[in-house]
Amino acid sequence: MTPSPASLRITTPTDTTIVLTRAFQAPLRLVWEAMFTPDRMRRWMLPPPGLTLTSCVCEPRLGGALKLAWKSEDADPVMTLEGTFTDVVFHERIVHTEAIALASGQVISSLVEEHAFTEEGGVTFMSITQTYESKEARDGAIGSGMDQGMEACYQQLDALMAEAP
Amino acid sequence: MLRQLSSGERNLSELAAPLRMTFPAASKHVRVLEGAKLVRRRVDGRQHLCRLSAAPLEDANGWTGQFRRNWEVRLEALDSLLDEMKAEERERRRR
Repeated sequence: MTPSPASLRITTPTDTTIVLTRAFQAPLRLVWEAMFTPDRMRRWMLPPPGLTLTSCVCEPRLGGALKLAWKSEDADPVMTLEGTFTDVVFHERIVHTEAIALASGQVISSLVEEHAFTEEGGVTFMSITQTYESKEARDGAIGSGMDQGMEACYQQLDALMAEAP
Repeated sequence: MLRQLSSGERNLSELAAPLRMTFPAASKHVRVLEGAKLVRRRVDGRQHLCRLSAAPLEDANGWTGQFRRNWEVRLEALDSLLDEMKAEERERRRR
């Protein structure tokens, strides 16, 4: 089966990295604008269930800030993301640090994210390389989700078993 | 049963015991899992050894699970936004 242009590919080329690749049916300048302009970001940076994005700062230039905050019904902020842009090549490459913290100040995820873009015939190819501090941290980023995925899978199997003669 | 197998190869008795199943019931269970290509069984002497055939599980749900889905949802929202932005641009050019 040939993956559709929109299909997201996720690989783990090294112990500490996750690489996401995806194509968009849009020119690179629009993808760049959508990904790094706060008003546009609000539209697609969908928050986790129950959370609302309250502030969004994105300054895609060397030394510029990346700052997002979310609130829940009980806490404002309940979670923050703070980072700094460490490399920006306009319409080509962008690197930023990123630390996600709870209101208590406890950092739950810390990584470097590199975005690389190329455009061919109106289609934009993007790759995001996330580099974590350790293999454990990398596995944790995927793993918490993987457990849920596996659990859903087990539940489907339980249902299948119940139906089996 | 799959949870048990996720930590390694087991024979049928080992699989049956914690589930309080009889040997034939466990065997039937394994047959269903084999049919779904989730488990592989090999016979070693008198033992039936089972192990996870992980590939279909990975294919079915993606080993990246929720991480993948979170990104997919966002990137699909980004697709919609890009469609709007393309339309805005066409509109501006028309004026």
